[in-house]
Amino acid sequence: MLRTAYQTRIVFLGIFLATGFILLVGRLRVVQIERHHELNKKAKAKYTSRVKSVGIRGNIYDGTRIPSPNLLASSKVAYNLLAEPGKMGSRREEVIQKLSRLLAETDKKTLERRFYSGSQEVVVQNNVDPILVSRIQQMKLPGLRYVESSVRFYPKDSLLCHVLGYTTHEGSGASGVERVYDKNLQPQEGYLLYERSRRAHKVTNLDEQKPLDGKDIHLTVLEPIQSIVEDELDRLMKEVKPKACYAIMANPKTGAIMALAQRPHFNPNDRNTMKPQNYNPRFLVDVYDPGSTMKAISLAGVLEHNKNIGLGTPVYCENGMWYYGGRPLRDAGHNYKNLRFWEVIQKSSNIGTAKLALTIKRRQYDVLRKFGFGERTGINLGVESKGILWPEKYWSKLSYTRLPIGQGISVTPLQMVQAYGALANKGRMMQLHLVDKIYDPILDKSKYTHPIVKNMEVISPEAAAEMVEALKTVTKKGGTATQAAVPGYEVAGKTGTAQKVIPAVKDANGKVIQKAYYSDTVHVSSFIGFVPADDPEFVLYVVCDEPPYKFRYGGKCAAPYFKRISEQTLSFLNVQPTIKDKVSRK
Amino acid sequence: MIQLVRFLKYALRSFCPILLSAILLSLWGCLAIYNASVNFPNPEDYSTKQITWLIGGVLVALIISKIHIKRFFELIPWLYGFGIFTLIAVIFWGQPVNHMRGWFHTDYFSIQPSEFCKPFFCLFICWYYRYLVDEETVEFKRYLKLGLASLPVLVLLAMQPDFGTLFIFTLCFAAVYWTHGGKTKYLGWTAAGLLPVLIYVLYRYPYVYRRLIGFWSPEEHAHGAGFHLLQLERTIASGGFWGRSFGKGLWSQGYLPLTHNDSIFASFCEALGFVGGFLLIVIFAGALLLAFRKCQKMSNDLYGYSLFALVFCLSIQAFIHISVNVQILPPTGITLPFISYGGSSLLSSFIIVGLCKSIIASEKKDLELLDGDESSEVKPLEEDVDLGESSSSEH
Repeated sequence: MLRTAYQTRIVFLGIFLATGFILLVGRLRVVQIERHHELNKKAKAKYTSRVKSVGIRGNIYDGTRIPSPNLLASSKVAYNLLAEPGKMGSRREEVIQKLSRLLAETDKKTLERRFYSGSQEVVVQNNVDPILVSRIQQMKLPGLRYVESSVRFYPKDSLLCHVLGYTTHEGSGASGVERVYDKNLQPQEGYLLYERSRRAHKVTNLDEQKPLDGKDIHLTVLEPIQSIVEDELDRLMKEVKPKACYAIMANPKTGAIMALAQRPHFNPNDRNTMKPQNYNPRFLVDVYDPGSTMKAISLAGVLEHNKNIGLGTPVYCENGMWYYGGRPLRDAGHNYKNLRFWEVIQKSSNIGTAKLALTIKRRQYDVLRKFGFGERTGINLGVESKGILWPEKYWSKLSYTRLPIGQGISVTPLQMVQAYGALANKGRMMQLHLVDKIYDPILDKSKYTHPIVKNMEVISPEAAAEMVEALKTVTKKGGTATQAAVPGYEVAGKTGTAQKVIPAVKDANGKVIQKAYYSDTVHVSSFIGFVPADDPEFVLYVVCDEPPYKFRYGGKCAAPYFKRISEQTLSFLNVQPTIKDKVSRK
Repeated sequence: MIQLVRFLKYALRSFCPILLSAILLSLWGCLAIYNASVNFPNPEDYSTKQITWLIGGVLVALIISKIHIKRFFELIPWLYGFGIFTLIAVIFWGQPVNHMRGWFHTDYFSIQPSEFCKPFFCLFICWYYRYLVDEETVEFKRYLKLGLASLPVLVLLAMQPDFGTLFIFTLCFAAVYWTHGGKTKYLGWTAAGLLPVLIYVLYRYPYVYRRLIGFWSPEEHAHGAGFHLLQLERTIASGGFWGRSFGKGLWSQGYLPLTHNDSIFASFCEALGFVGGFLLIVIFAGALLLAFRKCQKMSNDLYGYSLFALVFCLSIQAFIHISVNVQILPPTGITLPFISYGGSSLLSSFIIVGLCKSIIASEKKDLELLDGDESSEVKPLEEDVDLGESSSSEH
């Protein structure tokens, strides 16, 4: 009996355990084969870590080649300071006390609010200077963590600020070159994909991509000249006190911008100075009636298209008051009788210009279009205005006399510089550009911007040369801008004193209460010219927006600064004086 | 030269298939341990130590296998007594690990006495039952005496407290008693009687209760008691059919707790996939079935019982370990024989292997002796025993 029980019970237990083992295999199969993908997917999300690594954003340099480019914008290492209040224990108050004393941007109250917010980790301050970080580290405070980041830094502070622009806190470009060339400047993000253990150790690397540093941008702007221009604009702001002013200098032979400055300005290192009136790039978006500076353009068209007219052609200027199309046209402040073509330019006679322009009535629109008005210059610096140039079919009878003197047409300063560049460059218009080259540090290669001819012949070289001759007289005795004359050099230039348009006032229903009109007191005064006149090194445009009334003439408020800037720039560029014998036209 | 050849022959003969397969299994285990401990501070330590223990274990097994099992039966009360003494000693002088006083620690290794008690406990209850069969005629008294004799070990284990090992011992006791022809109803009553004790344990040791709850709904207790279970599931799933191969088991290296001992099967499955896990189960189940068959053929009952008890002890450990690893049972802290890291466990397993070998060899020797005298009448004594047993069970 015992033996049978022993036999059967052992068999029973054996079968029982064997069945158990078979069940285990079944269970193993379910987990390992059937649910393999499902569970693995769940697991994968947890154990695969991706760590980003960021390269360095590219630098921005000026166009100086010898001895070396000047650094205008760069990135420097900073640290984001984070804190885990839970790890501080009883020392939390001490940490708050010490940190608030060290960090200028963070006060005690904000820190207390953050530290007692109940969050596991809070930001103490972003982009802390490494020196400060090392000082904090020396204090050995508990629960602090430092994450490396970078902060954009402009070594020359506000210099060229409107062109350079600035970056967001995240480090991408927000305006100016920083924004337009963001793709080039932006470093390519690297990453490391790895399987991690519970304690966040790396187990195996799955994939790795090293970060690539951003490309460097070399501008055509020359830092020394830019400094000259900015200094002079500061002086202008101080002496004349206009609402705003700006100056643009470009090389007419290549289209390269040499300097571009604006006041008021801001300091990209100090976000407190960033107010819209400070950082709006007026040279791109301001449109205004240019006034007399337009005369040179329209009269150059006259010289080009009306072969009967030359520099000596006389015009009767109606004693300063001329009715045409039922409206009077005046010559500001003077009553001229007979003026020759070049005198019309020199004295800036409205009537003379209008009368001459009427001789090529049907070509006026073409001339303005050819000189680049009514379309963007394509300088590639962000949002740019087109200006306003109505197609000819919308023109009234009056338009043919008003557009040539710079009324009824709105331009941007860059368009003006571009047009005068064409005059200076013997009728050949060059594409304005700001970037000299883009340097790729990874490939060690530079991509140069080659000068592009935008229009081979805006006007014929002969007509351009004649116009230059006429423009030379402006800064000479009897001209409107004798203060713009640069000793030793011949200056071709033109003043502009434009009445500003006061916009129409509408009531709540959209009904016009007050029509738009030309103000008698508010002006945009400017001087544009190029030196040396026959072989120009640069075109310079100085504009004052809303100068005080006594400084309203361009010859008074802009011309002196044109002279000062030109003098210094010519000496910096080492240009030989062109006037050896003081020959004047008279 | 001749001596050397003779020695080699002797040595080869000594490594019978049982010992050889145990060694191979343990070496496989060393690989699994290395795989599991790759990310530990000093990864080679574990597998090196394990191999050292393995060599010791093989030597011990060889020595034991050369001793006639009768000697052990003669000594078994003393051995059992010594086992109880070590268990008492460990409660007083052992260092606590995870609130458990189960180990003696030295600078170089640690010893878990309860592991060494396993084979001798199995041998003891077989021997004692056999002794009682000769002495007692009342089955209930026999059950009571057997129970009382094994109680000290069980109580001492509960005092450590090491419920996993206690569970194994209890199962061994029940299995030995039951297969010997004991009454099922006594076991049933005992189990019912232990229920209040179980409730007391759950009350006294909340972690046991938490483990049960965690087992019931691991997702809800993912950060507590369910964590281990979830990691076991993911580790096994990570292996897939073919596994990730040794050294690349991410989950077992990165997440699984106790990956080199209590969870070795899962980490093994991650490395070798379903194929490896299946093979391991087949090996354990196959060894178990072969051994059970051997028990049935044994001419000497005591030998048969003992062999059965020893093999059952090993296979039930394997069964529970694997069940825990595939989340059929809540975590118990039972190691997988031969595979798991742990010197005491490995040595104890090899002692069992040695004892099994010794039993088989003794059986052979006894038969040869009998063959020498008279082979037709094999065991007159045992038929008596049979009768005695049957009569007692009828009471």
